[in-house]
Amino acid sequence: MNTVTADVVVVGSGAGGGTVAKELVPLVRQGKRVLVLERGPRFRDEEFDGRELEMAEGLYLDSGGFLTADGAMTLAVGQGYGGSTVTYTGTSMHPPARIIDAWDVPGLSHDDLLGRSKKYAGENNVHLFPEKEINDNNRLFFEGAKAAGFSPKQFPVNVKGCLGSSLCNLGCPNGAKQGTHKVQLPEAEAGGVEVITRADVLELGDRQLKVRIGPKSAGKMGDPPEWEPGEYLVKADVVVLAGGVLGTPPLLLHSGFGSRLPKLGQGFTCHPAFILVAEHPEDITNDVGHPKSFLVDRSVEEKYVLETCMYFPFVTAKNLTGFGPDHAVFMNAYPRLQMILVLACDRAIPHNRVTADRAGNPVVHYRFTKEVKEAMAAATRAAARIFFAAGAVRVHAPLADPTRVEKAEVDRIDARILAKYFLPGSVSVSAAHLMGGAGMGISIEDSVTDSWGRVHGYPWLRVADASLFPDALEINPYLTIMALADRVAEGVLETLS
Amino acid sequence: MAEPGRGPVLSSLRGPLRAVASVVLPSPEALDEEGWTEAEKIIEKALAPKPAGVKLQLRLFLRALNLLPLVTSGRTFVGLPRDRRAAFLRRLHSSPIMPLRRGLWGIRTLLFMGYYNQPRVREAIGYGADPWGWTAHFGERLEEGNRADDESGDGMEGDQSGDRSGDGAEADA
Repeated sequence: MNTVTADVVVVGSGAGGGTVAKELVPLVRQGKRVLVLERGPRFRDEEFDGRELEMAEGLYLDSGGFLTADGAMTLAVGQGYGGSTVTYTGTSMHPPARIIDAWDVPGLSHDDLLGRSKKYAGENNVHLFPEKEINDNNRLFFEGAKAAGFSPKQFPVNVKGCLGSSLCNLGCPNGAKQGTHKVQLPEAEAGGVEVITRADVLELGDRQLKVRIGPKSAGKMGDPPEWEPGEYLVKADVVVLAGGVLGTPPLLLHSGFGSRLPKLGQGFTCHPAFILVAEHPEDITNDVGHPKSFLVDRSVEEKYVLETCMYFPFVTAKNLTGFGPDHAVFMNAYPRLQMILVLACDRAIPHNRVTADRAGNPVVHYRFTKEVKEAMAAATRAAARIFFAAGAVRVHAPLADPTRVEKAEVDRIDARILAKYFLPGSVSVSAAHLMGGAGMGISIEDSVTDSWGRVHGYPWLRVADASLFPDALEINPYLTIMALADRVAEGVLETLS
Repeated sequence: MAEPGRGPVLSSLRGPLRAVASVVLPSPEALDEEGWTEAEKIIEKALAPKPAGVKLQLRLFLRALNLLPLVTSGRTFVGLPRDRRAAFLRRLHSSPIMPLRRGLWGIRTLLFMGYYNQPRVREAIGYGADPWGWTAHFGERLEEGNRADDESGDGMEGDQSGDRSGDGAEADA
């Protein structure tokens, strides 16, 4: 087995790992070696051609089909140089004060996080999208929400040179999305940080990692790995885990850390989501233009958020509930479809957790609480009102039976759309905001790390991803992850400088 | 029969699979033999890396689905007319037994995968996303060098809510 020595090893290159990598460039200038190990490959922009199946296979864990243990929810997790920042829509929100205060993590203040979040908003070109590029799908949401009595807000996004391909979730074909793959990682590499792709960390020991470098398979996306394929022992003074919720807690559990960290894997939340569609009488622009421009935030009042969205035919078909005529009528009306994504704000509960199977693969145990089901129903009713206020003639409502709600039924929305129609396994639910599993806190009694991502009892080990969240964030999490990762990097610099 | 975990997963269950498709897909009649071959190829490719246990579950579920109607109607699922197939699947869809609901969800997901990933189907339903976005959609809508979102970002400058009160969004949309 090859042995490699470094001063710092960062596992993962997404919002957390990419941020840490860039912030550790000063260490390289001091003559120290910093490695980033990324499980997925390094992609080239020209590989992102919008083919749904091929992109999903290359860009997502389990081709985008990773399921919770009971098979009732799909979890979308990006993999590759840049992690999920390659596949998100670029929506970038600052951490809310009420959430950070409610987390009540000693040593973590909202002011501190907000300052760091603003730094990355600047670095990654976060701004409001110009009105002239907003498509009908988004415009109708804005107008419908206003007419239905809601207060829509515009999403800040991190694009630069967006052509409006609408293919954000399949990787931007124009390199417009300013994720860590475009900003932090290139800067880190220019500063001497080494990024090794196709590097699967199999096991973590005391200041060392067992790593397998995989080959590039013929016909598959991505560049070959930077190191020769094979097994490596990588030794480092400091290890930063930033492989995300399906990477960090399972690796720690598989490596035996669970016996001394009883809270490891607990506190999983994910903003369970589903797609609602509505048919308009005329064609609208929906599969062109940035897909996600507006939201209605009802997280405080009713524990849900509505976001504009636009998905591809297979993902849309899969996420609509049921089959047959009520399903087909919408799929056959694609150019007339408006879409809204419902996100429920879930809470950390004892059952919902991340574990690892014998091979170290992640296993997610998730139960939909009564509160989440009620939030989904309330969100669906609100979305239906927005659709109809925007001029839609019919709405697909997963929590109705039958699922097709016609405009003539607009006064019956409260009676038609109910939580009792939510049947796990029948209603398609997915989640992309995976959080928790290595939460911050005071001691091993209540958490896995302190507020600087230092793992209790292991001064050489840090966590710098959404695993740190003690509970749901209730907004899109990327800037918050980057802000927390910035703190972790600061701690590493203090330790090693 | 192919051994679980190796070789084609559904080749021996083509009859039940296509019978489910006759109810689940919007326009199954639009798939000619070439289309069916393509759909099955897409599905098999997606299943290939799955663990043997998952493939076995899938095969067992399809077999059970085909045989279950024998109990109530004396005919297999394949042998049922289309309207009774639909009624049977609706019962599975709302069954109190979670594995039955989940199994049907899995089968329909595979069928949608094989169907909607065919270029002719995507064209038929009017899906037209293009990597060139607005440029492809409206020709010269965006002029080179006139991109409003190219401003170097100095962040969100205070109010990040982006609340557009009034008539902002519809102005140029």
